[in-house]
Order: sequence, then C-alpha cells, then structure tokens
Amino acid sequence: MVPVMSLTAITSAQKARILAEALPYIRSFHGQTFVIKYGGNAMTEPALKASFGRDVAMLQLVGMNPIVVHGGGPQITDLLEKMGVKSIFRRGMRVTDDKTMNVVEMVVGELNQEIVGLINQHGGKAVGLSGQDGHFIHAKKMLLPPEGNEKEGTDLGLVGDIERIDPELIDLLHSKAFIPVVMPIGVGPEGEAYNINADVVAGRLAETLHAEKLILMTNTPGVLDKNGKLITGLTASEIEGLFADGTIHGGMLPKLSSALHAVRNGVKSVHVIDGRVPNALLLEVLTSEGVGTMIRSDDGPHFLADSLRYFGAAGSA
Amino acid sequence: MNPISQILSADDILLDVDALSKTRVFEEVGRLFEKRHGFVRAQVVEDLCAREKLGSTGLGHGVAIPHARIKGLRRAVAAYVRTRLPIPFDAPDGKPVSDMLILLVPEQATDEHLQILAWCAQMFGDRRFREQLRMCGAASDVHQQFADWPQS
Repeated sequence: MVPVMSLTAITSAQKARILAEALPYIRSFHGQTFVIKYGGNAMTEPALKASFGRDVAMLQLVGMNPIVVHGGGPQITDLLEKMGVKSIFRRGMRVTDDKTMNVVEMVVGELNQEIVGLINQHGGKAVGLSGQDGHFIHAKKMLLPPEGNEKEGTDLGLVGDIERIDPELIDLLHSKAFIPVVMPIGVGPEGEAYNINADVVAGRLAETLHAEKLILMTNTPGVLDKNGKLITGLTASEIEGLFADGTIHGGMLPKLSSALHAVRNGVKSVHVIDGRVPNALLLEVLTSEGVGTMIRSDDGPHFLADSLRYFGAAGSA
Repeated sequence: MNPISQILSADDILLDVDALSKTRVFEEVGRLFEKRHGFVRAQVVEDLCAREKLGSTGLGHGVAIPHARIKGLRRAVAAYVRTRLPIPFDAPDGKPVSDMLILLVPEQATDEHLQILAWCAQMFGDRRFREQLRMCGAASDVHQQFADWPQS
C-alpha cells in the first residue's frame, strides 16, 4: 500500500528529491498555455481557494502560461433573490434583462477581483479582465433555436454567444508573465455587454490560443460511465457515443460539448478534473497520475490502432 | 493466464536506469536482450524506433509499451525498464514517461501478439496497478506485481 506521509515528516533530502522529480514535467510543459475553467467547490471552500491560488501562481512561476476563466456560480441567484429581482424563465433558462445583467456584472466582477487577489497573494501577477478590455471578446445575441411550432428562436435577453476572440491582449500579458483572469462578459457590435457561459469562453479561448490543455474544474471525479465508474480517457468520437446513448446528461452536457469543440479545433487535450481534491492542478500537470478524465481528438497516437497498422504491415510484407 | 509473467523474469527488469531519452532506453534494452537472448543490439534499437515512428507507444500516465517485430525471433520476449526520472515520450497526455514494458515479437506477428499488447494496455490502464508498480523497489517485487494482475 501507499504509505501516507506528511510533508513535515519527511527529511530535507526526500523533499529535494520530490522537487527534482517535478523537473521532467516542468520541462514538458514549459512555455505552454493552459486555460483553466475555475468553478465548483474549489471556488467556494477557503482551503481549496488558497490551494488554487498557490497552484496557479506556481505553474506560472515555473514557466507555464495559465489563464483562468470563471463564471458567477450560485452567487448570482443568491444576490438576485436578496435584491428582490424577479427572474423570467424561458425554456428553463433565466432571461438576462438589464437589471439581471447589472447583478451578473457585479457578482462576476467581485469574484474576479477575489481570484486575482488569491493568485497575487502567492506571488503570481494576476490581471482581471472582461471581454470589454481591449474589446477582446466579440459577442452577439444568443437565440435558442425554435422548437415545435415556434416561428423564431427564443430570446434570452443579454445572453451572448462568442463571435470572435482576439488573442493579442492575452499574448501581451503572457509575454510579461502576467496571469489573465477572465470573466465571461463579451461585447456586441453596439457596445452592449453580453453574459456568456464560462465553459464556452474557456473552450474558445483555448482554441484561439492553441492551448496545450483546457482544464475544467468540477465537483465530480470526472466523466462517469453508466455504472458511475470514472472514465480516465476519451477520444472525441467516444464522447459522441456517450452523448448518443444518454450516458452524458445534465450539467456535464455543455461542458463536454465545449470540450469536444476544443479538441476538434486544435487544443491538445481537455481535462475534466475534480476540483474538490487539494492541489488538483498540480496533480494534473506535474505528476504522472491526473485527477479526472482526459479528452483528446481522434488524431495523434492511439496505441492499439497504431499497433494493428504495424502488425498489418507485417502481414503484407 | 497472465501472458507477461510467463515471459518476463526478474532478470529482464531494469530499475533506476539513468537514461534521458527514448533512444538511450532502447539502447539499454538492446544491451539487455543481447546479453539475455543473443540479439543484435543495434537491430533491436532500430526496430523499436521504427514502431515509434508510426505513433508514440506512450499510453499516458507515465507508462509506455514500446514493441517491435524482430526477424528470426521464435517466441515473444519482454523487458521492463524504469528510468530514474521520466523522459520525453510524445505521449498522448504530453507527460514524460518513466515506466516501460518492452515487447519483442516474431516478425510474423499474429493475433496472439496483438492480444498480448491489448492485455498489457489494459493492465497499465489500471491506476492501482501503476501505483503499486511504482512502489516496487526490487526486480522481484516488480515481477510479482505483473504476476498478480488482475487482482480479484
């Protein structure tokens, strides 16, 4: 069995060895871009929040380029209730009118500054951004496609879709060792602000920046199969299979649609990780064992398929 | 029946190998197979590299199963190598690799050999197996881990 060790109970020599063993991982990912979607318990529990801030600062300080994207979480609903703002729902989704949008901007803006602070406390140089800054997230109004005998799509108010992301601002910040912390607000052609799903923003940012990894922090162990068992690796076509047979449902659907889109558009891998595990990010990036499900495209090395090809060549030789 | 423990003896297991690249590991393996089975070292390296060119044999999670068809070989042979530090391997998860099971099979490879590879991939896909394997400090313990998989 794996012995349980406390870091204070090991010798300096052992500590040095653990640090030395991180070098090959640091080397593999040096200079690479990681887009991290921050959410779930990791964003609400004090110990996990501190661990997150430390992990992000560390990844940057050892030479990687992290970007954090976050949404508003349950705080938006809480504040709307407190302020007595009545929400209208269409097809189960909240309509974002002007009043609601003010609350959204207030909540995500405050969270954004809190996250910037968490990272800075640990020696990172985090910078809070919204899509308004440098007009880097171009958005348009999102309409839900018409259903049944509806003539036009359902209007959800100021809920937006991404039209385009300009990478210059993020590149500039990375070139000076800053860590961008992005709230999911985009800007329309008339200068109007739109609220965008944070998973979608994270996915599109990863694509635009040709990120090495898109990491989605969740409150689950990862993607689970029909029996509730963790699936550690999936290809794009396997994900489609899980969509088709109904294994993936609920809140996992939009996350994995984003993941699928990302790996099909140049992101090397997407990781759905368990944000409830302390130091989840360091475990994912700097050790051999990750903490969730890795998703990648159908291209690239696939052990058994490649071996079959190799043995097939033997038969024909 | 466990196809690996039958062909992997404790003498085929190298731990704490000081190699910093895939090619250096393959050279160590070539040397081992030369000593153990009388293979031509350079040929082993060349054939293992040829298979890597089709796509890395890294599986992710720091493990890999390099393999090759070898001319004149009559039955499959195996070696297990653990490097002191993980080495670059172009694995699907981008992570370096430290634990390698190397398989050499006859040139006329059969379904049986492909099944052995599939079996090994499944074994290395088991997190508990990987973690227990990494805890082994002696070749005999490594051999026992392979023999004991799958655990009930």
